[in-house]
Order: sequence, then C-alpha cells, then structure tokens
Amino acid sequence: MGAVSGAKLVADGVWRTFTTGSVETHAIAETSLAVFEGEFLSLLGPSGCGKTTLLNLFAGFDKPSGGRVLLDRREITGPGPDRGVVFQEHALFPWLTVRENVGAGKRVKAESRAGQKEIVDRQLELVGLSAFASYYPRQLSGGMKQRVSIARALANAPEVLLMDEPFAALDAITRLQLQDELVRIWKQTRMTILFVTHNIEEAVVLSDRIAVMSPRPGRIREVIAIDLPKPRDPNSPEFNAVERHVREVLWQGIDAAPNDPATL
Amino acid sequence: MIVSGEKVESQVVPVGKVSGTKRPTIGFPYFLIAPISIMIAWETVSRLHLMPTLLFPSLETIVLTTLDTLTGFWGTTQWYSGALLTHASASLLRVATGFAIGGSLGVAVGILAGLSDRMCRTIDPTLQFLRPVPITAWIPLAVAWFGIHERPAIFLIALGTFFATYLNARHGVKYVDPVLVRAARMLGYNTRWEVLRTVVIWSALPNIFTGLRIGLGLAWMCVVAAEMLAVKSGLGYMLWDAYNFLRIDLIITGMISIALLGYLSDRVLLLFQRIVLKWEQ
Repeated sequence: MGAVSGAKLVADGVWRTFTTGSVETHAIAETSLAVFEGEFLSLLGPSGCGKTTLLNLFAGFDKPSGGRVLLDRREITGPGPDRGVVFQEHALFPWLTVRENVGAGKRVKAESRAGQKEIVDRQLELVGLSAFASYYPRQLSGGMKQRVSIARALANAPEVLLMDEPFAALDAITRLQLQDELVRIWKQTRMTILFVTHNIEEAVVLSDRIAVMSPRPGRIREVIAIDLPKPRDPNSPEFNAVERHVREVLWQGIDAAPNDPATL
Repeated sequence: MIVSGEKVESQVVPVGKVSGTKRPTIGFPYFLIAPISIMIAWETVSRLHLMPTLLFPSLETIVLTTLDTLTGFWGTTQWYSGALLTHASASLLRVATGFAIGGSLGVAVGILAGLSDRMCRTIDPTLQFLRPVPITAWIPLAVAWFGIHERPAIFLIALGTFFATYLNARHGVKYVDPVLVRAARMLGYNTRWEVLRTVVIWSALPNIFTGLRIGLGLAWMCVVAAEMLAVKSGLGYMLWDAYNFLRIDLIITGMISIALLGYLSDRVLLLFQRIVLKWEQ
C-alpha cells in the first residue's frame, strides 16, 4: 500500500518473527495497512493471529523484523506520547487518584497548573467520571478503570489512539456500555483509532473499516469497509448483513490456516 | 503488604447499611488471655517455691524493680536505679542510627541492583554469600576493627538492616509490572530516569516498606547482641550485666523494655507506611 496521503498510521511491508530456542514463529507475515486520519479501524482475528503484535509495532513497544511502521510518514522507533495506548489490563497507576492518573501524561504536565486542571476536568467529563476524581483505581469497577484509562490516553493529546482489546476483560453488559461510550467519544473527538478485538459484533459496532486477520502466519485477509452511520443498531438487517460477511471472511481465514487445536 | 479490597462500592450497597454493619463492637479482650495466664503460672511457681525464688522472683519484685530502674526511688537495683531510660535511649539511638545507615544503603543498592542486570550480577552473588553469616558472627571482627565503642554496634545494626532492605528493594524494583512501564513510556516518559521516577519507585514502595519493617526488627536483635559484647551501655548490656549478678527481675525488666521499644518503633514505621502508601488503604 505504501505511504498513502491522508494516512495517519502506515505499516509498510511489515513482518515479525519471534525466535524461541531453535523454533521460529511467524507472528506476522509481510503485511501492509494504512489507518486514515479520523478513522476507526479494527484489527479482528482469533487469538494468535498477530493482531496485538501489529498494534505493539505501531505503539513502538516492539520492532518489526522487516518493513517499516510510520506515523505521519515518520518512522516509529519507540513508544511516544503521539500514540496513546489503552491496554487490556487498564494499566492505571495504583498510587495515583483518578484525577492524577488522567493528568499523568508528559504533555499534560507541560501545561500550566490551570491548564492541567482544565484538560483533566474535560476528559473526566467526557468519560463521565467527574464524581470519582479523588478515587484510587482499586476503588473502581473494571468498566470505570477502563474509562479512566481512555481519559488518560486522550488527555495527553495523542495523534492516534491504539486500543488493545480494551473491553475483553469486562462483563458482557459493561462491555456494551463502553462500546456505546466509545462511539460517542469517537464522534465527539474524531480521533484516529486502531482497535484490536476478537469480538465480531464489537468490531462491527465500532469500526469504519475492519481488517480481518488470519493466523499462522498472521496476515490481513481482507479489509472490510462499513458504511453505516454510527451509533449503529445491532438488530438492523444492514448490521446483520455486515456481521455475516465479516464472520464468513473470518472463518475462511481460520479454515485456510494450518490445522491447530488452538484455533478449533 | 497489599490489603485486599474490603471496601464495598457505594453504588452497589446503600451507604447507611455499610456503615451500620461496620460499626466496631466491643469484643472480649482475647489478647489478654495469654499474658494473664503466663503471669498466674509465674506467680504460682514463685509463691509455692516450686522453683528457687532466685530464678522466679515474684511479680511484685519485678514490678518494683522496673519502677526503681525508672525512678531511682528505692535504690534496690544499685547502679541501674533510675537508669532505665538512659540505657533505653542509648539502645534506641543506636538502632535509629544503624537503621538509618543500613536502611538507606540497602534501599539504594537494592534499587540499583533491581534496575540493572549487570549491576545485579556484579554485587548480588557476593551479598547472597555474606547474608547467611549471622550478625553475631560479625561481632569479633567488628570489635577488632572498631574497639569496644558505639561504632561496632552501629556497624552491626546497619549490616543487619542492610540485607533485609536490600533484598526487598531489589525484588520490588525487579518485578515491576511491565505493563505499567509501557504505560509510562506511551505517556512520554521514555528515559530510564523518567521511568524510574514515574513508575519503578512507586510500585516498589510496598516492598521497600516490607524490607524496612523486617530490617527494623533485625536492628533490635542486632543492638542487643552488640551491646552484650561490644559496648558498655544500653539494654543489651544491662541484660547481660543483670545475668552476671543473677538478677532475674532486672533481666525481665530489660526484656520487657526491649519488647516495648521494638513494638512501638514498628508501630511508628507502620504509621509512616500508611501515610506514604495511602492508595492501599
């Protein structure tokens, strides 16, 4: 695909192998992908398809074995405040209150005291946790922690938001609530979001495009654009049609992969 | 050290109900059963002369001896009459000095060894090799080097404190949750020093406090051992001196004093820990 204009994040012929002892695992085969400005793109696939590995390359936590990952056409060499990350395990600092966590980013700290307060207040408002500003993370429910985690990432004014299965550890109902919230936040901020999930419905609810991945070696099978207005109704026939198509592509990818008990 | 979350979320349960069930009830003072039983047994042995009175002085004698060492009113404890606080503060000062030196060195070296693999491989094997040597085994060397004086005592206390704080600080730093380090790095804290300052120190703090509390306990052991052989003042010295004159009452006074000081100093440290680690409450 290469560096397309308007592309915020680009993976350009990236591949990644892990070597443990004499065994080489192809986590990602040569892959290219572009995430456009203001777009919500999901990486969808079964466990072991390399979707988190790809996200870690964008985050700068990991380096590709070959190819390049770019943000605004500049090569990514390590983690940085221009790419906010929301982790599966909230990863909040337990010794900081909700307010302090949201204001923990280096870019926030660079602001004046009044500026910091304004940023933190706005983000807490956005995720609906203003009343919990003085709580410590351990006093919050899983869903609330993840909202704080989103607020912390957004407060640091990143160029893009990388979300690594952020709702996977939540119960089904909380998960639906947070999906709704994320749609609302995305509509309000028009943030460029790369979202990793193994939940088909979640991907269809949230995404402008879904990159369906298949395992062994991890590769992008097909990128599916969803042209439905958000928020979406999961009961509508259009939604179901998209979901069916995504499911088909996903299963084709799994069936095509070499047989392995882990994917059955 | 992590206190599990007992707090019930206010959203889930009406607040009034929670505070109603949490009201402390005045319970039976179970903790008094053991000491009172021991005292009754002791007094029985003493009064019925089941053992020589010399070895089991009556509780009354022990109480009077303790009061005399505190006030000097009766003069029954000769040169220890009214001298308990002097000896206690001598021991306390040694513990405080040795603990401050050993504790801060232990935390500093522990953090370094936890941060750098190379540093750990350089110093850890030597320290692990020296650690099993009991503090009492260091006494001859300490006295030979420093003489009968404050310095060998403080050296021994610092040494004892050092190993405990070193081990715990190193462990705390080494096993910092890597996800938290990633979180700090994505927030813009990328240099080693920034990661140390924003994440590592904080997540190691509970372990560091555990080490300090163990270290303080060891410091009291060390001070008594050191004072028995290496100094001529303090509660340890008083204990050994009392043994030489077979004043069991005075020995008991000394032991209770050490227990009390050890307990109280631990409470002070615990209070400090609660203030610093306020997110764990």
